[in-house]
Amino acid sequence: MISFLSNSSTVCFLLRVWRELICVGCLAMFFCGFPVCAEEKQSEILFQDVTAASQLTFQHKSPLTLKRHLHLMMGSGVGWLDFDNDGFPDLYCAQGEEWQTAKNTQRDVGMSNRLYQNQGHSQFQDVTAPAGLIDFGYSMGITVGDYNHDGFDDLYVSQFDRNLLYCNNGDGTFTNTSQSAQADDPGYGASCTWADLNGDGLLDLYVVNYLEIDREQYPICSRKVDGTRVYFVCHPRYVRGEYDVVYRNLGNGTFLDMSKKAGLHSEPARQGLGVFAADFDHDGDMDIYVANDSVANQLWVNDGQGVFTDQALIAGLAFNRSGDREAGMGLAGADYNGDGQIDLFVTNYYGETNTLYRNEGALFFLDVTEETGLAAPSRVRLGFGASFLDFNNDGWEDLFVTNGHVHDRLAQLGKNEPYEQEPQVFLNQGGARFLDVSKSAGTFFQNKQVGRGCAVADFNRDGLADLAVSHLNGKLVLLENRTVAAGQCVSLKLIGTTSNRSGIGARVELTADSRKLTRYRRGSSSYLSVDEGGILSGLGKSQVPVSVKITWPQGKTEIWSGLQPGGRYTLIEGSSDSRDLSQLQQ
Amino acid sequence: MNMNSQSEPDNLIKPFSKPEKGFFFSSGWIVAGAGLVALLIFYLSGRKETDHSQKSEPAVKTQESGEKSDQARRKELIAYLQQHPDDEFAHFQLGELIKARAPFQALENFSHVTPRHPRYYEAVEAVAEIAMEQDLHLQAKPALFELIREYPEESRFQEKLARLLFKAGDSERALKYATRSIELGANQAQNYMLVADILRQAGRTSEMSGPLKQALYLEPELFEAHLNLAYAALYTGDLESAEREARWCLERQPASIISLRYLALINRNQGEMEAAVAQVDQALLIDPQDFESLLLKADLLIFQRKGQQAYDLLKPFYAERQTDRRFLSALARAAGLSGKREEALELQKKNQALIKEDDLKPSSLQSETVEETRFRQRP
Repeated sequence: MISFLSNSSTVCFLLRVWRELICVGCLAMFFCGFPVCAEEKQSEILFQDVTAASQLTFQHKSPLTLKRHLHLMMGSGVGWLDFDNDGFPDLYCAQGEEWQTAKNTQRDVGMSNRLYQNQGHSQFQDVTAPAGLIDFGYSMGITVGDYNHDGFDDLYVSQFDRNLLYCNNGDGTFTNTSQSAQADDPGYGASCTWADLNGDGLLDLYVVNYLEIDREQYPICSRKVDGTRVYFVCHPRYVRGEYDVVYRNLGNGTFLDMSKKAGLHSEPARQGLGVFAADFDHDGDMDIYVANDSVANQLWVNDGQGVFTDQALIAGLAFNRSGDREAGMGLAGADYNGDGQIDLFVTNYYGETNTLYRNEGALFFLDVTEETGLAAPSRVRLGFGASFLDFNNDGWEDLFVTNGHVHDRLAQLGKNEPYEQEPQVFLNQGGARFLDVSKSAGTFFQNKQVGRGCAVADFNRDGLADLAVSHLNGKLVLLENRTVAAGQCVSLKLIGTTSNRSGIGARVELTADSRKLTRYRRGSSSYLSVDEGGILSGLGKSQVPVSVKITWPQGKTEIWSGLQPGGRYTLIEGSSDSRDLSQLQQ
Repeated sequence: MNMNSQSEPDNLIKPFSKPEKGFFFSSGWIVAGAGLVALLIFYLSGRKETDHSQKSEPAVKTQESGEKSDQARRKELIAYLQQHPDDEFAHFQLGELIKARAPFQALENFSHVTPRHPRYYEAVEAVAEIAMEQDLHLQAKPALFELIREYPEESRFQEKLARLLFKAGDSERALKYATRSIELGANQAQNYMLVADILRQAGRTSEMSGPLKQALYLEPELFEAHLNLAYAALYTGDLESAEREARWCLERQPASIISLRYLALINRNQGEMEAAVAQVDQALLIDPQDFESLLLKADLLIFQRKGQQAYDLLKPFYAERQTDRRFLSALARAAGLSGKREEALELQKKNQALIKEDDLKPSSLQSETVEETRFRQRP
């Protein structure tokens, strides 16, 4: 009895305490705001796989062979272009092939590259055949640019065989002008980019070549394990690199191979995969950074006439902070820390880090991977595609990385590295560090895949940057950005007049409130891929009109002011007259 | 400081070096304590016996007579072998007698023992032991392989071979034998430490925590296991575990420079640069010449854009470190950041020249053969 009473009083006391705690909690929530007591509600990064709902049915096909032919493991890129100028970005998917000793001649349309027309309302339609884009080679890199200044996006596609140049006819069709334009380099092409390399206002081409591989004399690598020969993809050290190619646009529909005169043969050929063009030294011309596989990366600095010297060593971009070469695959460039300088992010091999180089100005970069929190999450991944995009429109460029190994038989070879790997998203925390938010960013980030290329576009025009991701021997995935409580943004389409019409290479400085943001019109991105041509810039919570300063590739600088957050604008070179552009909103 | 670096200096658990241990609880200290007690007893008894020193003479004499008898036996055997050079047992006996004093001669004697002799495998084991002690890998390896073939269930031979292969840098095969030795019943903390070591050498740092936790299950106070666990956690980005382990180590050994460095790395990876500098400064107070700490401090200064300070810190070491690629790279970055562009370029070139063709990451897959398949051109 005594015991019972004693228990009862204890229970009553606990109930009282519990009630009081609940009251205090309620009051706290009332004053601080539910569910967290924070000054500002945190945005929740979320991406939804909407591939099926969007009628995107692309399946990459690159069946692996018993002898593990190397190029079948490298995958293909993905690119956004607005080929019909309807304001919605369309999607081009590069396709693989089955192993052949000569270029594939089969006529199974399923083995061709595909073009999907964005029909609005998040629906896509396969228009490959009517657009005249059927091809059966192993396609790798994609770059989009209006090389003939007719107002329509043209396509360049690098291949394991001869590269392809597709001229957009402006009527929904393309013409394969590769041969007539003399831009059909036969090397093993990887990433490629359009850029005006000699300052004549025309888009030239830089094509990164990977390895010197001949279908008829194909290098095969193997090892004997417990009496059985196990074949695997050759490490690039066993295969010679191949020189990259520079094509000068002659302005008459043809191109001239300037590779030797441009200085690319001044050093031995390297095993290149990724490329990023920008004016790194602020001297008014486009320089080229190339990520090479297991050899030093190159920074080709332009003398303004299209002649290059490699200055990666002095710029601190050839190696990582330990002085080691890494297995450069994909490349992304953006001003991650808001200092107005373009920084570089290179994806690398399993056991290496994906390396972030902070631009210190004066053509000098520092590897800051460890300090920014990007080292550990990448050591147990093999990175390929990488894109800077502002998930939550807070004005800070976040990072997406798609991963997947190049060896699928590692268990047999006594290694414990997964072939399929989860992709990753990193939230930029005020330009200081990146936070891995993959676990909460959607189910796509819990699935292991063999990722290769990726490209950014706001395909549904909701003001949030979305992603297309290519997978080796897998389905293309379209990720819709459904981030909650995202900030404002402004969308810009640049049209060059004296500069190249696509505005590739333009530097865009946005001023909103007291904040300055720097964005770049890129000619390529990630691994073998290309983002949408427009510039989508997050503005945070700012509601005030934005002013934009554009430095065009030809060097001219113009300022537009009065752009409204949430607006979409087309900015034409030479048209700024200090008018309030809020009247010009589309 | 790149944790991927092959030349990572914090090689904590070299299997053939003395590890750092917990002060109060490690087995080493228990043994040392017992030894101290024994020494004390010996000393006290010695004091008692000083007055009766003659009492100890017989013991000395016994030892001397033992040595004399060994010497005599050795002479006898040598003389005998001159007459009977094919007597395998005599060779075996002589090898056993001289292996401590004349290991190379002992190897020669053991090599005369053939598989027909009943003591053959004892001779092979002796050869393996001597060869391992003398770093004669080429002789130790076949001996151990032979022992493993004959005694496939004997874990100690698997372990020895694993250690040998690990020392030779053949981490892939070392891992196979180290794992097998555990499967066969080897269940000491050091067996798991060996596996962790091999994984680290193989560039599989992310897999180290499993065997390290096993080692700690068997020997919870094993200092090097805690320290390595801190490293593995740091490598994989588990900063919470890394900090817990590093602090555990620092509590046991407040002067542990490696622990302090790990804490600095943890701070750095959390973006707390000032705290990181404070930790590494503490390490440098303990040992101002600790090169790894200097390198880390320079790295932190470079990140903070204090290029000249980093340069001043590193430059004095140039003469002795000019073939260390990590050092050259750090100095180049400091030079570049402080405007010494030409010097930065020269240093980077020097680094580049030091890179060897085979100097690839341990995770890279090496091929035994590269064949070029040839096909007929299709019509």
